[in-house]
Amino acid sequence: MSDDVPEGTPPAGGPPEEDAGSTAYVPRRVTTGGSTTGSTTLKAAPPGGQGRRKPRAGRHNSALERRFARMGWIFTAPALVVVLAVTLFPIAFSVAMSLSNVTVSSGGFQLSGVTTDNYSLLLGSARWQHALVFTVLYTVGTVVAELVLGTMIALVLERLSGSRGWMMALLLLPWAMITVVSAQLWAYMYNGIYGVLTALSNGLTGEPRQFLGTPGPAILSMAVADVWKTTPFVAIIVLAGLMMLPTDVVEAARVDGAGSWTAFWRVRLPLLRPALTIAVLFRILQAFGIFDLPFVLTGGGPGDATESLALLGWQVMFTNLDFGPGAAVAASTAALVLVGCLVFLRAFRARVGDEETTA
Amino acid sequence: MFCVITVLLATACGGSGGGSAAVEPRAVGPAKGSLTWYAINFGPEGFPQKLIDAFEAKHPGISVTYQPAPNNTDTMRATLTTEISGGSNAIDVYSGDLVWPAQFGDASLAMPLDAHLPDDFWDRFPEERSRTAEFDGEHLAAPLYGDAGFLYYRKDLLEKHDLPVPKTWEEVAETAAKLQDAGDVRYGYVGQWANYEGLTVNWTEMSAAAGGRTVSADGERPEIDSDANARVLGFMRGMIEDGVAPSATTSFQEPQSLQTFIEGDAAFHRNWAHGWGESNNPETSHVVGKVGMSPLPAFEGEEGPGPSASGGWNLMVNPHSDAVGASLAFIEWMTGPEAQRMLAENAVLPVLKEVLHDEDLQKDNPALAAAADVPVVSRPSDTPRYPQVSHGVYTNLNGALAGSVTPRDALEAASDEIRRALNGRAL
Repeated sequence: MSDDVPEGTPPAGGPPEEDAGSTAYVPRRVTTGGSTTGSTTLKAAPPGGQGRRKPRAGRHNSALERRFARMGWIFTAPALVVVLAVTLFPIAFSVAMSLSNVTVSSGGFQLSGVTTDNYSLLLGSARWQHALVFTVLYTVGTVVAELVLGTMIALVLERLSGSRGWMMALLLLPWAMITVVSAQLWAYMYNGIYGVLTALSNGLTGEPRQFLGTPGPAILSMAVADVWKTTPFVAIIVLAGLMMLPTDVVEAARVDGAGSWTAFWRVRLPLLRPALTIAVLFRILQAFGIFDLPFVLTGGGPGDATESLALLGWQVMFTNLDFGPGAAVAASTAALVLVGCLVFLRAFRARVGDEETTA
Repeated sequence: MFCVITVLLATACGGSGGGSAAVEPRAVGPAKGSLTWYAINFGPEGFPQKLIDAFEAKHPGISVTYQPAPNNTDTMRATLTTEISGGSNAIDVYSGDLVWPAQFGDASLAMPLDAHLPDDFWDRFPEERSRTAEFDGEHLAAPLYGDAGFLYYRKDLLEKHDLPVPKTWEEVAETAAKLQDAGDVRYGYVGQWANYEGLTVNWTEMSAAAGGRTVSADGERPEIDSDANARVLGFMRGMIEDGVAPSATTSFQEPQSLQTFIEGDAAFHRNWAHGWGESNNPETSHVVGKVGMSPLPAFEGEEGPGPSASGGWNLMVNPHSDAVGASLAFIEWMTGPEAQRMLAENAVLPVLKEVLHDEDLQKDNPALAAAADVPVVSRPSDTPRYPQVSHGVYTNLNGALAGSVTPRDALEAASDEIRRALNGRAL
């Protein structure tokens, strides 16, 4: 982002600094001027983290407390065992599968030896590389589009008063619809001969456009269907964030001479970060594992153009019955999305923490 | 942590070795009790249950439960794999796609049948059809019903312009262009050229009609990158470029191409045998009574007619079944004359030779008559790696049909991918 100071911005060290003592929400220019990531952000992170952890350090002092804690563990143990069995075991099993030679026999799965063959097969496969690039770019593209659109919609919704409930209900329809169903609806609209959109493009350009027949338009068409469906979700979360913002900060900014644009960019948007973080996190998790949309809409085609990692993993596992490589696709996808989310969280959390501690 | 689990699992499962061993023959048990048949519905609504009722009337000691499978081959395969590889005996007999035996045999998902059925059992089927149920010299499946590709055409339009039914693909394109130019129909030809198994089917037929192959006869190496195949792929792409085939065909599976044809928007259409009933169904079709069907064309200079890809489904037995005896009785009856006759009467193509060639039945059923004599070509499904081979075919050809790569480059890329698939190095 730019380092220019927009018109109407109060000079650094001006009035907001004084107010900052009373409210923890007023951001400082240094942190909100744009994505000045890197050193400032990372340095600021540890104090924030430690600050939160401190109060817990001195717990369980008395013997009584320790006993209660032990009892607590005992009582939760059965539930924990179930949770471990249904979450950790399948993950561990698929990681184990991805690291060994898997054969299926009448006795079930047989894992033998420890090998990295499945992963080297993956890394050497143009199909996997393509799926990876596609999934990453698709995730980034759709999440950014949804974030921008969702925030815009939320800003509009916030201003509505009486009709907000109705608008929200309307808006949530796409989100409420099962993806397989909405994907099928989009498939009808994109149909190369009878589709509404095909007819529309024929009317506009004099030539029926093929939405799903060639790689570029197919990816775009799929992204449009995705954005259509999930923007409401982002909008609702951002709206919730907006409603919780204290109005006095914006008023204070106005008093200081900030225009509405500046007030949004410099005051409200930074304060919205926690809400945006949650929205983006959820969306990354979902978009990275996208399966139903390409499954219904394109089958991964044309060629391999819209084959996501999840679709690839499913095909390798259940169409090719290659369980080792299939598990490797699944495990590596999970690892990638985990790392992606952690990196994102770190960057975003650090900035939030930064504001809280330094303001 | 993971290593510990790996070791535990490895030891618990008895370690390595013997992974590819066939399922051992087992005691068959009596031909009575109850069994579950897992299948995608076929024929008219409720037809599997009718077959079961007829079977139970003949075998009072056996009761059969029909469990409907998801109406998608890949989803069904995924379900079966999870069930059977997990050791479940909830399913005893299941319907399996024609191209599954090698893969299922390799993964021990089906019980070899030869030890339990008389040697002459297999004589009741056409030889090629029976061969496709084999893997490693053993039958893993018994054919249940068949299918074949046909050329459907607009009889009324050909008559109107006094044109003959085309015998070659070149004639199909020329005739189609004439009908389009006359303004009688929007598109000339529609098939299934989307990015999926159906394109491999369409390709296998057209390639064979020009004398081409996808995989060598011994199944060892790709032969897709040949002059004959370049001619075919160039022809297919040319159909799209000339507007004979709509560019949307590259995203057409059976339902979309069929819809285009029964809406009256295409002059020629390749589809399976059910295309006949569908295009003459007054509730959905706009071309009732205006449709003819013929064997597929050959390419010019090749002997006609072109072969049909063989399709259809088999019956397979879950190796964990507790009702093998009853399952074998069920298979015996389902592939016998009574059941096969019921199939033929319900617009499903039988696989029993005597019913397939029954002239009385053929009189009322043009699809049956056409299917009985049509030459057949099989997809290269005798390797457990067939899904990857097919993927190499359809993704690359679909790209060429959509115009993103040249036909020659696509065939070369397909050849590479098939080679890797056959060597077990494809994802």
